[in-house]
Amino acid sequence: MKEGALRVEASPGRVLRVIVTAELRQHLRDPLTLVFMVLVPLVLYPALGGVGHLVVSRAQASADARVLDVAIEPAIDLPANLRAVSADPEASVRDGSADIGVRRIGDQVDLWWDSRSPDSIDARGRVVEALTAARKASAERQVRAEDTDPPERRTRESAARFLPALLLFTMLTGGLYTALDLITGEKERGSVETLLSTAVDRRLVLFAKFLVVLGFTVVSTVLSLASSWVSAQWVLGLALPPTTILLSLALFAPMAVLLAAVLVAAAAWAPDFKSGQVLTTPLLILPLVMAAATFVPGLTLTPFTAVLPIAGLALATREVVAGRIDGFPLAVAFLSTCGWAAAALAGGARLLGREDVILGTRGSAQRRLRGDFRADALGLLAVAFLALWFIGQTAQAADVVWGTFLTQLALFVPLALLAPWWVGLPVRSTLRWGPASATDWARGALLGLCLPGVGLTVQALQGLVLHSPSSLFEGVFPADSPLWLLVFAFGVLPGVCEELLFRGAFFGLWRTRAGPVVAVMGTAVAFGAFHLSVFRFFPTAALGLVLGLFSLRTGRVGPGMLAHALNNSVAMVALSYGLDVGFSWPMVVLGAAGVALAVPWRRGVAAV
Amino acid sequence: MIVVDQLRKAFVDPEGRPALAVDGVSFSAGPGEIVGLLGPNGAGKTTTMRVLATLVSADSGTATVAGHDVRTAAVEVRRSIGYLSANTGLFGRLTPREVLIYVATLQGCEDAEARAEALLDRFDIRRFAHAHCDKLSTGMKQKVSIARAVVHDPPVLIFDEPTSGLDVLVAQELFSFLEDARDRGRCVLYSTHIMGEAERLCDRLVVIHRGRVLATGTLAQLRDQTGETRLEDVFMRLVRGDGPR
Repeated sequence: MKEGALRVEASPGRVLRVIVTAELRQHLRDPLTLVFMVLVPLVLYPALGGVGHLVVSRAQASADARVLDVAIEPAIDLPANLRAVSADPEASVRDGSADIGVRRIGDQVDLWWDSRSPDSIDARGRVVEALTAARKASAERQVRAEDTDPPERRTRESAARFLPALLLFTMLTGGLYTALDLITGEKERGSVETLLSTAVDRRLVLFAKFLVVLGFTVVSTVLSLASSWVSAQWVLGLALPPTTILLSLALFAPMAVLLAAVLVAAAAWAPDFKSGQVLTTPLLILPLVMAAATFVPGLTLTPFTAVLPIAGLALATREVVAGRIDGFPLAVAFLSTCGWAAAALAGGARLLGREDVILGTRGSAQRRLRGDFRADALGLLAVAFLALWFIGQTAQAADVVWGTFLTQLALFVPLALLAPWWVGLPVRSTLRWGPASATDWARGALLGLCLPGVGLTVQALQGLVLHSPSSLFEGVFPADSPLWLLVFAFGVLPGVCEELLFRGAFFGLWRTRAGPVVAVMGTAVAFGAFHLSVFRFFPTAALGLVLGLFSLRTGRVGPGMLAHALNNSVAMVALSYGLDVGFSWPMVVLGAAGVALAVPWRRGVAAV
Repeated sequence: MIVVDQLRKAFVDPEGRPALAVDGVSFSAGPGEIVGLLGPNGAGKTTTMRVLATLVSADSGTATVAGHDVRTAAVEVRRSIGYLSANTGLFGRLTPREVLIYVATLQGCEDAEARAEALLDRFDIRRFAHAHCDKLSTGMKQKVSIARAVVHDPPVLIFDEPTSGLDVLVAQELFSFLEDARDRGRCVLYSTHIMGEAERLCDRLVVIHRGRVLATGTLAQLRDQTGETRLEDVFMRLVRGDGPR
């Protein structure tokens, strides 16, 4: 072997280029990279869009061809897809024998329809069209109804709402796997140590990895935008100007930096691949929830909303795609995203400077050895959230009662039982499942009757700063279902299953390394966020807090289940009888009594 | 070449309490010698070597490698050492040739490709030069790892239990390579808990247990100190706290 290798001082630029090239070479040799970066944006999204469009078009054609029943007085000529039935217009809709009821008295037209029935809604459109035609025919004063919004613009508006979330999702899927593979994976494989034991500044190594993640994020975004552009023309017949696409891309440039920095920091923080997947799952969801700002009615791009992280840029992109370009808020959105990106980069660099983070000496095995299951608690929450979002919400949209049964019994309960078993903890004691004293059951019953006071008081306080809809539950629960079924589905089941999931499994994992009060508070926040509504967050989190404290007091999950179930059942009965219970001082007193019942006053009462 | 003085490093133990992995370790190693860090698992050998490789920082104490302080001149230290441990993995989706060129370039070798080619021959890995590293056998991977560690021909080699998982043939190749390096004036710090390896390879031994140095010297000196003949007995006497006689 040749003695003494010649050495030269490599410039930072050359070192960066060498590392980036090697990282790219390694990552591109991974078949999964091709899937996440190329196949998903170029093939999967257009395919899903095309299939979705096909399914919707066919469903629409089938719905258009169906003959719907109209109870109309007096009769008029109806198109072929409407059939007149002779019955009382209002009663026939209420008993379901007609899809729509129409009564004409002079120029006055009364319509009855059922907003829960797609057929009824469809029938309303057809009837209005037929009535307009009839007026034309009888030379009556024509009611002119014209939508000034051309169909092309409506389609473009829809695309504008979807595009930011789609771009974000593509960025995240493109960058997430890259970050996990290049950073967490390298830690697990030990090659990061090889790299860090070379004569290279550690910051350069990390910056090179960041650049690669950023590169994959950008490439995924460009491919996604290109595919969206083509799909928009092919599927929707919508010709988006190339300048719109380019402007959207320019807007998303700082977003790519922001997401790449966050992904790199998260991947570096995770000690191993499995922990990385758990840790980054919320990262996949949170930006999408924020990008859903484009769907919030009335939320527009202003200099104030523009500074919101992710949401601001999503709104800006919506405006650009919809063709509404207002320079100042767009600039604010762009610059504020640059600011967020710089903050994320700085935070990431700080995190990456820590040797325990870089070398992964905080491994999940070590954490588990120390009895620290907090990451597993977050993982449980992420999985439950995904299950609720993709399965539970879909099932509830189809049928709210049976969807709730499925969500609670087939999703929440198995997750709560599996989580402790999965991490190797005893299931019963982690869930605090066991017999409770008669006194605790009695307290649980009393607490259940007091809890509505807590929720209503917090909702009233929230109303001082956040204007919420008049009724959060209007139209949510089916009016035609028997009360016992509603009480069971929306009162008893969530009481039992959600307590098992939150005050049982989540709390049981979280409390392993956190103090009981901190664990109760963390569980309450998770419980509030889980209800997927800004307006319900604080009331439900407050309920979660009180129920958590109560579970500390009793040391068992059962009495809390009773309290939760009673609280929900009381609310269901009140809703069924149309009782509009708002803020009142007796409710405050009731809530205070509930808190007093729940708090473990004596030190050491909590059996945790 | 290596001077370690009163090195301390604490970690968090499984109970969440701070525990001293290295507790006031001092020793030195010069050019043209192989110094063995001998100790059971968890003795503090790996942590000491990781401090010397600048992968972790010491809480207190000093250490210099080839005249460079590990705290203040980390890059120069890393340029001076060839570091190999059970944790230093290969880049699985690169070939051995690519790994060697990559690391040689990062280490500042001007003739990176020539160095890679020479090492492919030296360690008899040319046959697998085009296969991805994650497809190689354990022994072959270790050969590539050793070649990777010495690709820049550093004056100091720090090898942490390099024979774990190796068959006897590859281990013998490693020993002959290290003896050759010693003969060429390289300083080798070699950790092991296998007495036979230490006995065959090391010029001097540093016996380490529970983060503390129990004894330092040549094998003959340690035998004299303890009155035992076999290294295993020497080691057991030191570890049990009977101490040198």
